[in-house]
Amino acid sequence: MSTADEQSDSQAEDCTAEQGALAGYVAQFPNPSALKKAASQTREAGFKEFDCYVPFPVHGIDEAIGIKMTRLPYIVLVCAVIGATTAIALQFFTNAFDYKYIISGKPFFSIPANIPITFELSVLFSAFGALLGMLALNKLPQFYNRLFLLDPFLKATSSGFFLAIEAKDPKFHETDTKTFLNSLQPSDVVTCREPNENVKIPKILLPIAACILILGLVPLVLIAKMRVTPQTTPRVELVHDMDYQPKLKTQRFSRMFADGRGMRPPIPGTLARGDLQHDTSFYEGLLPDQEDQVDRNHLLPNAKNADGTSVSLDKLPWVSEIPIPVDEKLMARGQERFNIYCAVCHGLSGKGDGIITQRAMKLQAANPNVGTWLLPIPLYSEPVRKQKVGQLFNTITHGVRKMPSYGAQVPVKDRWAIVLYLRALQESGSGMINDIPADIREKLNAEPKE
Amino acid sequence: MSDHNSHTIELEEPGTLNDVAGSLTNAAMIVGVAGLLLAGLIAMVSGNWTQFFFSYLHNFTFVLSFTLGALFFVLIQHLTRSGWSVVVRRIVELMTTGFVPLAVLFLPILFLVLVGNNSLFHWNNAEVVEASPLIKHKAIYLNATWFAIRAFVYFTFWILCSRFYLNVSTQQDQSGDPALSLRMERWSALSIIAFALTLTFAAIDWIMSLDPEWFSTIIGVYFFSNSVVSFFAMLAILIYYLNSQGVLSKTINAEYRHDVGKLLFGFNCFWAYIAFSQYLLYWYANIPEETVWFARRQENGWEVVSMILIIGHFVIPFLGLMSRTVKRNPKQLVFWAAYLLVMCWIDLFWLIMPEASPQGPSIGLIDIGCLLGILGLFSFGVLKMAGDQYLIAKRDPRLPESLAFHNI
Repeated sequence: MSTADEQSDSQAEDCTAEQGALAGYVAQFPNPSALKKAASQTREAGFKEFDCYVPFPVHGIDEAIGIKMTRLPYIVLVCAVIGATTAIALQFFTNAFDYKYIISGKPFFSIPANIPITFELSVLFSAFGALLGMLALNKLPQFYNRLFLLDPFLKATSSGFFLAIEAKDPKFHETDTKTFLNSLQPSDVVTCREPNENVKIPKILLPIAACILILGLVPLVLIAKMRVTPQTTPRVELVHDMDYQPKLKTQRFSRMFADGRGMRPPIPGTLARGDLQHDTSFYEGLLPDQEDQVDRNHLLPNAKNADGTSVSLDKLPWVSEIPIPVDEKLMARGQERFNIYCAVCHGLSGKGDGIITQRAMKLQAANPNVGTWLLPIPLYSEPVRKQKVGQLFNTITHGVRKMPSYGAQVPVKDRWAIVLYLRALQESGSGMINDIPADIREKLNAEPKE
Repeated sequence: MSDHNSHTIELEEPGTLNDVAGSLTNAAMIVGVAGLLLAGLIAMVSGNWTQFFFSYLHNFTFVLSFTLGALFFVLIQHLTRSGWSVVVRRIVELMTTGFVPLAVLFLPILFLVLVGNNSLFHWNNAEVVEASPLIKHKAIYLNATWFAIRAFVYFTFWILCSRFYLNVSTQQDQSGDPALSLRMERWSALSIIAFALTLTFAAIDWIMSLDPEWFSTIIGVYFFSNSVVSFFAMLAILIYYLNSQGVLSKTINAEYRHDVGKLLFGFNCFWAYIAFSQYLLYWYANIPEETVWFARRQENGWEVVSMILIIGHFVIPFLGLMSRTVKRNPKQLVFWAAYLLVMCWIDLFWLIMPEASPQGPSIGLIDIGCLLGILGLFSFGVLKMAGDQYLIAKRDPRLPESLAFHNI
């Protein structure tokens, strides 16, 4: 044993050629079990400032050294709560306070919509808390550890199991502690000394670091300046994405054509496919032989004549027959389309009691000075019944009075289908009891009245 | 690593399932039969058979859920070649023998569908199908014959798969042949795919189709998350029970409780994640035929059950089970496991019962009777079929690794 001691002493001398103050002793052990045993004994001997160094995690070493359960979970919890609060506050501020904006008809501040962001920010903050907290609790990053100077200590990454007692421990004694360590049956004990105090950071490094720091600010200042300065030259693009492509965009300049326009007008005398709406009875509900007398502006809602009087739509040359073959299928289609597009205002029966109308009237009754909603006239009333199918078609296409245009939503053939169904509604809405076949009439009479 | 040896626990002799719980076999049968008789009697007296059918289905899916969770656990351990779980795996394998009594318990439901009764499944009626274009569209899938064939496929797979893993595992008790482990691992990948498909379609058939007009693409995952939570809760309770009987009380120590607790905690969060994912999409899109299902659960007192699930199934156990100390302490862990098992039961109650009584939730003797009945007969079946099995995979090649298992 004594020879081993001398050996290790001489090794320690070699390691720290220039003698510094005594920093502690490092004992090497042959295996984890011996190290664990030694750590327990060191702890029981009352040492506080000591640590173990092993190449892989050793189960039970925490208990042997007496390391308490980490406080990291609490740091993570606090970070998670801060994350959740930040997310809620951010969403409240942006959505419900600073810039109120209705999305999908939901309330400005609605919990379900906020949960994903809250979840993400909680996780993000927790992850930051876990990583930075772990580094802080481990006192990392450390650029230097004097134990690295000891030659045998390099084995701590491969096969060495070390226990180091620091000189700053209150129980530390230059000779007693060494004797104590030797009594733990280590394979080796080396002395660790503080590095030579003359080694200091060269003074020149400080101004260099300051310069680098200041230079590092230059790009930020430039960016900040550019942000607030109006520019006349094109911006500098580092990443083009797909901003420049050899194609013409709408409303853009082009050198290819003499007039400089990227968008081309149609060649005179030509039409795009589908634009030839020659059959005016089908497309406009106007008689083909008289359509050239009609000013198309008169077809729009609330049109005026040159003298300021309202255009009388009834006088225009409307077709009186539906210009496509009428059959059961067209009627069914008309009913379906009517119930989708028209019934919300006009009601399923055409009476003018659709759900929008009902709600509007209710709101208007509550606030008499606000609403401008007009009750639609019943579709089976006399003036509407008298209208020719062409005029009904035109009303759907362009709208009338307060009714908006449906030409954009409903295709031409469907508009005619609706007109057909409208005729059926008018028939049923204005029918008298005698119109009903006799046998069904009896059945109806037999049913109890509401 | 040599260091592990110092932590390895002594393997105890656990004996067979009968040694521990054999005396409960007859009691389980009596409770089971009495429970179902009680529920049936009340239904007969009150004439409320619909309530009885729905309660039966509810408790059937509840017991099925943790049995499916058990099968999932066995498969995933083999799939990931887990070492830590070997000491608890046999207990779980024994749980999966419950698919046989469950198949028998499913027969009344199947019978009901095949005779054309539509009090459980509204789609099982030609007039209802004819009246709704949505159901009519689904009639190619939702019809009695195809329903029966699917149920047969599910149970066949579950029974064969669970038998395979139990048989090979007990075979290894004799021979200790590591090739058997490899054989189980090889089959686990295919099995888990089949497991996912059968579980998903079973959830669609037995839970989602109660409202045949409604649809949710996530219902399978939802039922799965619920199954796994209730399974880990059940496992924690079983471990507590075995330990309290002095069985494996040193082998299954705090390290295993800690891991079961972690998985319970984690899968409970997964459940909340899935439940919220389902809700968020319906809430955002706000399409009537989708939201009607949630609307039913937000009125007439069902909103209370919904809130119980949000707070009781997620918030409270999230905070309660988070701590390491709680998961390692036997009494505290079993408390939270039992609590979550009740929550899983309420979750299925919330999934199934509003279709029977949209006018409001009510729990009566029929529910209790069905729960005791199905749980009792299930336990009876398991004890009968697996009674002579040993409680630990004693010659699994990964057993030493499991015995040396240690949390950081």
